[in-house]
Amino acid sequence: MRSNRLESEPGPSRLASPLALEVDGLSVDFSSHEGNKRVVDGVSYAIARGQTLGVVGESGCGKSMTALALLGLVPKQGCVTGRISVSGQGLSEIAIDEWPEIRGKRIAMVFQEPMTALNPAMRIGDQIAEVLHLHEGLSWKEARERAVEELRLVGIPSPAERANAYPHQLSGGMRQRVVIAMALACRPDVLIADEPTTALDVTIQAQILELMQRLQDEIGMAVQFISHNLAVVSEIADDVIVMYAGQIVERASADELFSNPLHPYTQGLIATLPKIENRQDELPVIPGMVPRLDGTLKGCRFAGRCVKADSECHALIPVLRSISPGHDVACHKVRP
Amino acid sequence: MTALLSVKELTISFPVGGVSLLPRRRRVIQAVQDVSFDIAPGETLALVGESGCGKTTAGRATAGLYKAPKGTVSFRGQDIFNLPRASRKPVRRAIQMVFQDPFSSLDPRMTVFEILSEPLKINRMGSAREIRERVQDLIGQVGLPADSLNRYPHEFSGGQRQRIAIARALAPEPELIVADEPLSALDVSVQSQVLNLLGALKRERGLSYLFISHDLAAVHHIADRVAVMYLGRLVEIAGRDALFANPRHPYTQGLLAAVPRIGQGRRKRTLIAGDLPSPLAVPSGCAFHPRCPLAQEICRRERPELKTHSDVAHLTACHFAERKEAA
Repeated sequence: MRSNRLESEPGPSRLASPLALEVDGLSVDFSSHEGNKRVVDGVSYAIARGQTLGVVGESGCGKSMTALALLGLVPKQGCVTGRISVSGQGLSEIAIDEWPEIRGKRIAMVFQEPMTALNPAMRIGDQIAEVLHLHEGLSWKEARERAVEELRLVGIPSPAERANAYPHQLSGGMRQRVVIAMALACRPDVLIADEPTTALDVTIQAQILELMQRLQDEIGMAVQFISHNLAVVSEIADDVIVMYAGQIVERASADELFSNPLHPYTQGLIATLPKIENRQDELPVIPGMVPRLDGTLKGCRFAGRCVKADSECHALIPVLRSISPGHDVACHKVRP
Repeated sequence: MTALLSVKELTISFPVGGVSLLPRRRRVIQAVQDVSFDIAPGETLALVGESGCGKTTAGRATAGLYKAPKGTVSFRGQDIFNLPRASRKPVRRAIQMVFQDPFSSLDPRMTVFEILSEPLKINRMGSAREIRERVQDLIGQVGLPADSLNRYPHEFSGGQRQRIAIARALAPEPELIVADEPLSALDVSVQSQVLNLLGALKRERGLSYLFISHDLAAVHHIADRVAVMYLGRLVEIAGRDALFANPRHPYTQGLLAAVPRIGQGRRKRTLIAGDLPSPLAVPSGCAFHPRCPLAQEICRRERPELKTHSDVAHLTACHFAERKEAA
C-alpha cells in the first residue's frame, strides 16, 4: 500500500508529505581487491509519521548498513547511491558539513548496545543536554533542565538525581532508556532503532518495547525498527520488510506477513522458530548459507538455498512486485 | 529413578572490589544460593533466568569448573569436588561443556583436527589411527563437511563453529553436556539447525543436558524439565508442560508473559516492573518482592521455601503458590 503511495507522489513538498522517510533505490557498494560487493542493493521503502517499519533479516543481510546510510555513517570506502528524503527533504545531495543538522535532529538512532553508545566518562544528564545545546541552541542551564524532563519522559525514577549518574551506575535497561531519551530529545521525524532490545533480558525488553510504543504515540515520529527477532518485530511493527543478502525480498503489513508469508525465505525463517504453542520434535531448517556478495552471483540470491528454485531462479533476478494489495514479493515462483 | 547428576544445596560466592586489607569489610556476591536439582540419565534440564541470576555460575560449577564451593555436586554418586585422583579424569570426561560464543571458545591456532583430537589424546582414547577415525566420525555426526579437519576455526561460520564446539564436547563420549547459551550467538535459521542437532544426539546417544538459556521458546523445544532462577536461587522447578501451562511463581508468570510471540500483534504487555536488584543488596524475605504484583507483608519478612504443592514434581518458592492455582 505504502509503496503505491510512494510511486504516485512525485516529489511531495516538505510540509505536505505524510511520509517521514522515503528511501528510493538505495544501494551501498564496497570495492576492494576482491572486487565490488553490493551489500545493499536497490532498497526502496517509505514510512509515514507515527508508523513503525520492521526490518528483519539475518546477519549480513544489509539491514544495519541501510540504517547507517540513512544517517550518512557508511564507512568511507563505501559508495552510497539512491535517494533518501526525510519529510520531503532530500538528503542525497547535502554536503558533509550539513549532516550534523540532520543527524540527531531530524533522524536519530538507537543502537544495540547501550553501554557503547554512551560516553562512560560523562554524566547522563550532560549527554542529553549536549544534544539539546547543539541542536536546539539552548543554554547549558536550560539544556540540563530539559534533560531531566527527557529522563522523566522515558520513565527513569527520580530523574533529577539520576541525571548526575554515570552510565556504569545504571542497569542495561536504564541505559537503553537514556539512549532513547537522547535520541528523542530533539523530537526527530524518524527514529532508527537497530536491535534496541537484543542486549536486554526479556522482562526488560518488554518494558523498552512498551516505552517505545508510548513515546511514538506521544511524539508521532516514524520508527524504523531493525531486528533479527521476528517475534519482537511482529509485536511492534505496522509494516515489515524482509531483507536477504542486501535486497528486500518481501514487504507487507505485519499481520499479513506473519499470517501469509509468501517468499520461501520468509516462510523458512518463520518455520524455523521454535514455538511454545506448537512444539515439534524436529524444527524445519533453511539449508546452506548466505551467499558471498561478489559480482559472480546471478539470478535470485536465495536460489542456492531454496527448495523451489529452478533454472529460471538461477538465471534471472526476480523483481519486487505486488502480489496482492500491500503485499510485495521478489520471487519467480510467487504469482498474483 | 537414580539421578545421573545430583546437585545439593550448592552455594557459590565471589568476593568483589579487589583485595581488602580488612577482610571483614570485603563484600561478597552470593551468585548461587542453596540450589538443588537432579538430572536423570537421558534427561534435559533447562536452567532459565535473566542475566545475573546465577545460571551460568551454577552450570559451570556442575561441570566442575570451580574449586570446592559449598554444597555438593555428585555424578553417579561421586562428589565431583572431592574425587580420589584416580576417578578425576573419568568423571571429568563424562561431563563436557559447550559455551555461548563459538568465536572465543575455540583456539584460533588449532586446526579442527587438533581441537577434536585433544580430548581423545588427554583421555587416552585409542591409537593415533583410531583417534583419526573417531574424529572423522564426529565431523560427520555434527554435519560438518568432510574436508574440515585441516582448516582453522576462522574459516567457518558461527553455526559451523558451534558444531565444532559440540563435536569437541562429544569427542570423549560424555554422559552429560552442560550447554551455556549455545544458541544466543547464532542467527535465527542456524539456531534451529543446532537445536535439531542437540535433539538428535539426545535421542541417539541418550545424552543428558543441562541447557542454560534465557530463550524460553528454545527451552520449551528442548527441555524435559525447567528450573527458573532469580537472584541466585531457584524459584520454580517443574516438568516442561506443567511449567509452561501452569506457572505458579509470579516471576515465572511474568517471564513467560514477556516472551514476544508471532501473531499477537501490538498488545498490552503485562510487565514485570523495575530492574533486577543488585546481587550485592538482595532484598529481604522473598528476593522478588519489590517487583512482585502479589507481594504482601510476609514476603518482605520471610523467605519462602522451595517446596511441592499439589503436584509432587512441581516445586515453587512462593508464599502464594497455592492461592494462584485456585484463582
